Amino acid sequence: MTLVVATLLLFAAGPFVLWPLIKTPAEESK
Amino acid sequence: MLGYLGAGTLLAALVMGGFSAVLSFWAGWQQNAVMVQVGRRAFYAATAMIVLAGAVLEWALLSHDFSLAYVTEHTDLSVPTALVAAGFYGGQEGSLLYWVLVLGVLGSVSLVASASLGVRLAAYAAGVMAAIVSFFLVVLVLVASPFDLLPVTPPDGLGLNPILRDGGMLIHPPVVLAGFASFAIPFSFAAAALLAGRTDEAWIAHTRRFALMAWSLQTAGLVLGMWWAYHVLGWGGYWGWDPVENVAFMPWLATTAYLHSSQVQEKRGGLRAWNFGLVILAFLLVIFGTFIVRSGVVPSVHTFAISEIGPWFLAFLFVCIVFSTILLAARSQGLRTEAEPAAPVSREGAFVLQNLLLIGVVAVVLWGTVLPLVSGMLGQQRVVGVSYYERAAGPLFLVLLAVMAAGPLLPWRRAAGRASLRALTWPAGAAAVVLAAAVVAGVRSIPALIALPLVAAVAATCLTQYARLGRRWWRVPGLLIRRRRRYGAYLAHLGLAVLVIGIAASHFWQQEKDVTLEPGQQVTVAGYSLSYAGSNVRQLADHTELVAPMQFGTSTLEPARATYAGLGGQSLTRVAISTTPLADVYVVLTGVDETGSASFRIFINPLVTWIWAGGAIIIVGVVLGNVGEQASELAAVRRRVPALAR
Repeated sequence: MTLVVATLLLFAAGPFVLWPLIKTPAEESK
Repeated sequence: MLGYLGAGTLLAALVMGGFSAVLSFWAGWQQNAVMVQVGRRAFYAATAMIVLAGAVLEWALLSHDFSLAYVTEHTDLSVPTALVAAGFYGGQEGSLLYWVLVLGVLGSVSLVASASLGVRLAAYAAGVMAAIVSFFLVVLVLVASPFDLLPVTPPDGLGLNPILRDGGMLIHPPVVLAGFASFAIPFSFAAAALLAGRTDEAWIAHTRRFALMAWSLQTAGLVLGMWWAYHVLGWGGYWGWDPVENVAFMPWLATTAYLHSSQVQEKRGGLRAWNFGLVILAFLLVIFGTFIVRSGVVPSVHTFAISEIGPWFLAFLFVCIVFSTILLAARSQGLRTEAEPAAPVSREGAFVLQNLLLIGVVAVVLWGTVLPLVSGMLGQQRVVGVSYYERAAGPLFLVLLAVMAAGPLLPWRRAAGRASLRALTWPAGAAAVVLAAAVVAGVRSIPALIALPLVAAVAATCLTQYARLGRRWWRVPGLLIRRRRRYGAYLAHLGLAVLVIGIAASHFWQQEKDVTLEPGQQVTVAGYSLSYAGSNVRQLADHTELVAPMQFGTSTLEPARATYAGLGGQSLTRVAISTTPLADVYVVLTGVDETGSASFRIFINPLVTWIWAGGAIIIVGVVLGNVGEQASELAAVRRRVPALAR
């Protein structure tokens, strides 16, 4: 149960944490 | 359910914190700006998870979820709601969670503000902070989880320690724990500057405000702790040189030294290695103090239940010492001071002397604190008493007062000339007048005859600085705002003078009397008359109180003994205090016999209120002196250090 909660939270935090990587390729291709 | 949610959140925070630490170091080393941002965001995410874990624990406390061992051990249904909420930091595990929560939030704020410091320095600062946060999370997840579940859910909890069932519980622990936690932030920036090889003045400008914040929180925490001890413990005093007080005092002393010596680096570029050393020392003292207090290796009235976290903190302390030593040694070349040596009797000289004295006090307090530990390892355990601290640290404090009185009047760099000596006539005159007045008033205690004139000299020095402003009164407000850092510092010095007057008066002239009175009888102590009216019993929500009211002038003092039947009949004293600007009348009920006669211990504590007032003035001085100061300071440093402008 603890592991499931931790995994879900890490999954949910992904877009926020990785945002610089998500937006950078698009900006570079401009 | 809440247990799993909290434990899962802490585990996720640990993974995120560890990821942030590793990535930030790697990205800083590679100077990879995108990955530095990812590392920093991972720190923010870890902080958000810690905040969520804190909210879960608070929810569990407020909803009386006794399936959690922590909730059962630190609250029960009879504890008032505000104190149930304060149970968050009332025990070992919760206080560690509170600590890492403060570190995460303040660390995030400091990282937001440090984005302009340059990629590498900001990345390393995030890395160090994330590593510290991760350490705490490892302890919280593996050995001291507040979310451990009980095999069987009890109908009620074991309750909060009666001594913590007091309004002070809502203020002192959160402030002092926040102070403790925030010393990690200047440390992180100092370590990052050393890692990045940026030993110029830039890190001082950035670190100073966080050091000031930590110092202010710790000042407030210490004064609140004194206030609480005075109002709750019932021994008539406020500072007992207990290990827990000592370990909170030592980082404060080291940071006080840093806040002064950093000015030498700002103005003259000197004392570089020393400044790094002080910031690192303050943090090491925090970790050392946590180990001492929470492992139960030294006896203390505050010690948390002996737990398994001691070895973890000892190991962490060892790692921090090795890491800091290697860093300082590796950067020793860059830390060489280029400034020409200053004259011994100059502002720099005063700062150096003040620093040495403060470190001397740290050494005195440190040895007093670890003596039981060290002597225990060598055979017979020895403990030092209050007199050791008074005899060893007292003279150092007196010289510190003298340096406080003279130092601000000395010029930078050059030896003090005739003008500085002329400026010294005011403090010297004030000291002479107070000395003469004290002798005429019959004071014969030598320490008092040294301390009081020195306090007068400190106050005179600060007041003469303000008086200089007054010659052109219409310019005063503008000058006060423009030079707020300087005049805020003088206000803080004045606050310290007020605080020392309170300590000196209550220390040298406290009067104490034990009496047993029949109802209607009167007693007079140091000119204060009190009459005993007869006892009665009051039933309150979670305890009963045996009250023995005493009439003092027009007011009624109600010293009492509280008994908590739900806690196995534990009882404690409730002090009654009547405060005036001149003295506190402090009454402790020691017993009531079957005939109705009551025994009291009565203290007359002169000028104690001035201690709390002095603490408040210090904080006001520091806050007013530094509001909005940072932007102009950083801009000035950016002009001097082109590397920062990048």
